[in-house]
Amino acid sequence: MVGTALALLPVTASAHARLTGSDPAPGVVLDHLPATVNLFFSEPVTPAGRGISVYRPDGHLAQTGPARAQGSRLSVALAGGTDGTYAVVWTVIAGDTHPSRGEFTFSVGHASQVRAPGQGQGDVGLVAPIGLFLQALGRLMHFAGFALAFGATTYGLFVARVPGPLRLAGAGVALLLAAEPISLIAQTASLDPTQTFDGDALTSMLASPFGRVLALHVAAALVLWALLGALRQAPWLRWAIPALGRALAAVDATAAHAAPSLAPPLGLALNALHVSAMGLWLGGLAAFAVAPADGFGRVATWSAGLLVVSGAALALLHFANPLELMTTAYGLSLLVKLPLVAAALVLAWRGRRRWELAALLSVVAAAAFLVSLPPPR
Amino acid sequence: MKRLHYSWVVAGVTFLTLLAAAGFRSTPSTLIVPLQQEFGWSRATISLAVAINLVLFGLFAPFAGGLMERFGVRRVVLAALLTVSAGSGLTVFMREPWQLDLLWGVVVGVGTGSMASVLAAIVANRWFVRRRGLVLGALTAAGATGQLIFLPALAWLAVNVGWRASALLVAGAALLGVPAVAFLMRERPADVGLRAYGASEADEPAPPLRNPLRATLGGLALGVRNRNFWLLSISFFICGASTNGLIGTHLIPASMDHGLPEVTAASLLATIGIFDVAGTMISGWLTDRMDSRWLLFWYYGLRGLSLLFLPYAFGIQYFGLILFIVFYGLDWVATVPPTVALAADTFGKRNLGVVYGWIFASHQLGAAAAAFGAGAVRTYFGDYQIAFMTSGLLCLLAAGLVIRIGGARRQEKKAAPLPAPSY
Repeated sequence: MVGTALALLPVTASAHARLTGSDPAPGVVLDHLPATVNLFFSEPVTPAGRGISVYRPDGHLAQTGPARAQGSRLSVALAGGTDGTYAVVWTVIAGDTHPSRGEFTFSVGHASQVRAPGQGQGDVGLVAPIGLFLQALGRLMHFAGFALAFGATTYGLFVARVPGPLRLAGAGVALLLAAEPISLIAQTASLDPTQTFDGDALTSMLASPFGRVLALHVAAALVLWALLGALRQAPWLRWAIPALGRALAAVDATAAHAAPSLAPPLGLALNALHVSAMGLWLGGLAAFAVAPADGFGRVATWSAGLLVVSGAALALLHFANPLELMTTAYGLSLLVKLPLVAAALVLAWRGRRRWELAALLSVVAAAAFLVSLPPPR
Repeated sequence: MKRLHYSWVVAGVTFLTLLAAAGFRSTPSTLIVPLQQEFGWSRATISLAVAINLVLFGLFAPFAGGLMERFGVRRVVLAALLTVSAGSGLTVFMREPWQLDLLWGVVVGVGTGSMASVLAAIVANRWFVRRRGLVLGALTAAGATGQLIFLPALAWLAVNVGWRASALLVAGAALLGVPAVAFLMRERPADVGLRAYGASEADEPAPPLRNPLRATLGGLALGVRNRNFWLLSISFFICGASTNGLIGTHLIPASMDHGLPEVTAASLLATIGIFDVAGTMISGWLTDRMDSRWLLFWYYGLRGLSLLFLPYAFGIQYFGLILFIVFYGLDWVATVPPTVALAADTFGKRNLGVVYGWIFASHQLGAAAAAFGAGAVRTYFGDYQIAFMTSGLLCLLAAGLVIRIGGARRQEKKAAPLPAPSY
């Protein structure tokens, strides 16, 4: 099953798609309206909805149809139009499922007032703030569900060897499933909050790489639910649960920021390790509250150690210079996260398990924001 | 040398009838793209006719059983053949979508449904005492495989001659069956001065069926109060949705979307049909030896994973698709023997027929829902990815459902599996 899940993974190395160039360039004044508008991105993209919307000076659409993607180029054909300033709004999904949007203008003949819907104003991390918030919420629920579904069961089955923590797995499955609708509307809200529940927007999202990751997330939750039922008759199947957890962590890794300057398989492994260690520590803690056992200290030490080492490696890879900690939203979120990690470690060392759990949950919440923001590189 | 027992002649005629009826039923899936091209109808519109056809193929069977008791097997089958012939032949003149729904959906659905599983059960019960299970198994396999193996020829006709040729072929083949059934089919062994095959004097002739309508409704009343009935029905709904409904109806148009020629795509389905025979036999053998819940758990689990793999399989062209075909074929109706065995365990052999009839109806409702749903998804979203992934996820859900089938009073050793309902 793990093998199949791994075979399903799209091997992509990518982060949020950024606009690297365009034809026509932003702000230029042209003599004639060009036949097409071409946008160039930092990586291959899937258009979301129309992909590109070009608005005429009178506020109506200037194009003949939706945009077409060719690798990292997105282009749209234009019908005729009058002189004045045109607004170009783009909405795309990157190979790692992250949405991004932006806009610029160009003019024909002379500049004029822009009558396009003012999108991209006040964006955080290339998306609308409400969308970013929903993305982070969906990821928090997913991570917490992951921890309960796999970390808590691993602790219950292999460390404490009592059935109590298995009850948490049911809640984990529910959280994993509930996270997906939130993540879905987070995608549409990120690109255009007014179109959050638009049928076309939602379905184009499901047909994109995001839809495949969503399906695999739901699949992992359902397989776990089936395994929990099977466990009563076949206790040996318990080995499948950590294996499934690792497969889901690998799926998450494809939807996380790929580490630059690292071969894609290594980056994926590092990401998957980070998520797995988080699940083991957080889920183990929750299960410890239900059924304390002596073995937990060792689990916590190992998982915390792996978490810190893999996390540090990922952070170092994403920053080109230390200043970016202060100048980017990604860096600022990391600055919030680091003291929380330190607090969790101190509380763990002193054996204050409840406070440790609270600190660790806030770390995961910070991480959920971090993963939703574009890294500096 | 002993003369061939007449029971085998009847079984042979029935086998061919079931094979042909299943083939007639499946014809519309080779016509989806040609009809779309000629009339400009959407996939959703065309899929609605397939959905009606699938529902009636399943739901008309219990009522056909009643008709056979009242008017005789031979007359009902003759009428059904003429109905199919008329329904299929008249499509040549159709102009509007409602005519497609009426002809391919209602007329052909009722006609083929009258020749489906009930016919197999009645013939096996009346004519065989010894080898009854084998005959029932062969007749059931004819019904499942017949829906797949004719597709390449039908697709070839639709592509090279036109969809009207396929429709006329079906009409002609149904007419050809009329004299064969008229001359060779007999009601009961007594009509040709024989006893049922392997029957001794002590064996009573097969008792006439109870009033089928009342028995059918009684089976439903018995079922709905039982948790296992719901678990089996929902998982079988998912089974129908993921086989006949989704793959049987839409694999051909989906492959064509990805640039495969129609005949190649139909051959893929026919290959599924061949692996299906092997898979069903292996599954019957396993059902005698292992816990049916575990068999279903693995069947549904693996089917779900292969459906989730399908959108990627189209990306890596033939190799991935062939892998999918082999895997899916083995799993196609492999779910039937364990499901029947579980139903028999829960409700007892005496009630199996009627209760299983309803579980099977759920299968056909699932098939119809998926046939229409996937067509609608393709029409509105422009791609089958969402449909394939949804059914893959549903299969995983089914795996979780079947493993929770209770329980406490199930005997360790299961009764011998029956491959089809015995009405």
